[in-house]
Amino acid sequence: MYLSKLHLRNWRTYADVAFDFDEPHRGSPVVLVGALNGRGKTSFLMALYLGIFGRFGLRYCEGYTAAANGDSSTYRHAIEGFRRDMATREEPTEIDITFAPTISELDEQEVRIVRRWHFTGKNSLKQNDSEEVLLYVGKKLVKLPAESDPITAAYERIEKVLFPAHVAPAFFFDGEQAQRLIENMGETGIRKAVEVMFGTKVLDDVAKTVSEYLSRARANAGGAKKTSDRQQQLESKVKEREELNLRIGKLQEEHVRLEQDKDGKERERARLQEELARWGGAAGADAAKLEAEYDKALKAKSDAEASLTALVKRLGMGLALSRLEQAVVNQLKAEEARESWEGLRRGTIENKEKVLAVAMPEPAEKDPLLGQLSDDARQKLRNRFVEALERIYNPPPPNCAPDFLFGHVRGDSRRKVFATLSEVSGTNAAQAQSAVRKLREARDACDALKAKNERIKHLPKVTNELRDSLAALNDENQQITRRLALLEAEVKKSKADLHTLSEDIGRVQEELARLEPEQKRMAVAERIGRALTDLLEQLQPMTTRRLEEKVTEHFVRIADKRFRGGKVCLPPGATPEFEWPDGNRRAFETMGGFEKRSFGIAFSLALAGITQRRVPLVIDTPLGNADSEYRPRTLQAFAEFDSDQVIILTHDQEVTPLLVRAVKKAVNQTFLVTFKSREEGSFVEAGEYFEE
Amino acid sequence: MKPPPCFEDPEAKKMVKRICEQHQIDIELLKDLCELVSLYSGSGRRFGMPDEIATIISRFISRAPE
Repeated sequence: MYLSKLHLRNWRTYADVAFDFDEPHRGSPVVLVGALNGRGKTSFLMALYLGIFGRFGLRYCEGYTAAANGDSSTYRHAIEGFRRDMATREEPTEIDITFAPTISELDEQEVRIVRRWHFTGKNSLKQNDSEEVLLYVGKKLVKLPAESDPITAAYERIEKVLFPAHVAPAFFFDGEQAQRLIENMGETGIRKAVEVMFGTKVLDDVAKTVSEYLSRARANAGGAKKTSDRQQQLESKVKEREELNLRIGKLQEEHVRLEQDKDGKERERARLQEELARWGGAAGADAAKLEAEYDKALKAKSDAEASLTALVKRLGMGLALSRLEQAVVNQLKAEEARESWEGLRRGTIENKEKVLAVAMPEPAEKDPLLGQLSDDARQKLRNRFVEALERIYNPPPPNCAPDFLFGHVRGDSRRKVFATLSEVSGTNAAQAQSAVRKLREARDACDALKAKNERIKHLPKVTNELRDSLAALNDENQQITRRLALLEAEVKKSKADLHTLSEDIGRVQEELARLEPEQKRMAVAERIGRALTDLLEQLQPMTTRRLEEKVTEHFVRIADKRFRGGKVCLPPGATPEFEWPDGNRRAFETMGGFEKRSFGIAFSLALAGITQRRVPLVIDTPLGNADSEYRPRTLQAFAEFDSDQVIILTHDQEVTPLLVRAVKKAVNQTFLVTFKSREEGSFVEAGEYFEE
Repeated sequence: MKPPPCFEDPEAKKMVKRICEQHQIDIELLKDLCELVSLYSGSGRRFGMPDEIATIISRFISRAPE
């Protein structure tokens, strides 16, 4: 069986959206539904619980696990909260779910459940007839008995045609919930799981029905046969047994109540411990340690500030010019070239007379060359020399600046500017960045410690109160544990008495059975009752062992190599443990988040597998923030799980497109849920997924 | 109607068989009763159930060896 359609109207962020799922292909069961946080993943999961089971599914929804089964007022409040706040008064909130048989399930029929809630105000459920359920089996509307409550009748019928509500958490769950399975996995949890696994609930119902039949048959037989001594003896024993049964029932009720109480107190204890840790740790010495850390952080911050200030001072002008560094360097180089050219030119001009004196010595009349020339010719020659000398440095070379922009920066000053700029643009720039980073880190560390230190000022009072509460809780828990142990012993003894009494009754009944057919039937009914009691008792350890094997199989596959060769143990009355090949054991609740999550997922997969029901797996955020090694292994475990359809609700940082490539063959379909606006809500695009 | 998984699982089935033998009943009897209970569950009615139980038990008595 697979989920073929989920149509949501006015449900949380969904205005009117349908997921149409393809029929699964063999070997590719995975359907990925991608949605960013707050865009509709949990809404999808909740829609399954509440759409299928109505108020009987609420206690499996996140935030409502403490709700009693079928609790109407919490349910009304929850539904009002789940309604899309932009819906108009006339529009109902509706969840329409269809499960279809796969090609190999020829004898199964399509099951469709339409659940609608009607409102009076915008978000106020109608007082009467606020909910309606339509159940279709094989496309035909199922008529529910008119004399009973239609919602309860629909629920019972749905459990019959689909699967019982208490099986659902094995198939529809979120990774966080799975992780929390450890905390809630007391003996009650295992017992429930065992009931689910082998249909022992039906056996329980049969036992009750047969017992009712016997009471009725005895009442009829008793009236007519009061004269028989054997009959009177039988009736007295049966009465005794009924009283004993009543007593056992009360003891068991008390046991369940105490276990629930204990679970609640355990949760409270965990919360208080977390709170205590938040207030600066469980140890009192943490206060002094934190104070010292804060002082250290203050000094580190002050050092970092001083270091950055010194650097800025040293590189001040360079830093100021650093953004124009290249242009400034080019200009300065051109000016340096001009300065050098001007110096040479000036030197030549200043030495002009000396050069001319060498070329045209005085008196000219006495010179063998110049003496032959007239005065006019000598003057012309002199003018040519002067012009030639001036031409040596004209025009200026091309790398020369036409003018001086930094007229005051010459010679040594210019060389200093060059050096500073080179420091800023080179390795010293990295130093500056590093100093800034260090200062930022030091400031962050200091702020965090300051906040912690502020809180720690109130530490003694708060932590003392928390410690007192924890101590009181521990005392209460110990008392409950002792009371539970006493109750268990009492139940055990009463059951042994019951067993003896039932055997006596059986013997008398068999004797009477020789007399007439009705007594014979009653004798058989007695035997059935005893057989069912034995069966229910003996199935429990067997199913627990089976569950241990399956949980181990899944857990070892998902977890890392540290757990190879070991096994998961589900000891009665204690939390789950892991046993290594050397016999070492450790409770999962003392392990890290990764192991807890792996156990939870392994347990859910084992439970789903062992029920032998072909129900699609729907998992919200299965991987969480697990590391890159763990993700593909878990995803692969889902892909290989024996299910026709595995729907994974995920965000973009979890099952990334890269990760999808690792299990590409197993993926049958993808959806992308996007949020347009508050008015329009979330939309679904089939065939789309997050982009790489 | 499909019987509950404890009647199909090989190991559980063996256990059911052994317990049935101990109490001189048979698996068919339990299966018939499970089916009856399942048929009535969700229907909201119980009328007629005791007669049907009597019929199922009588059927067992007639096939069971003395």
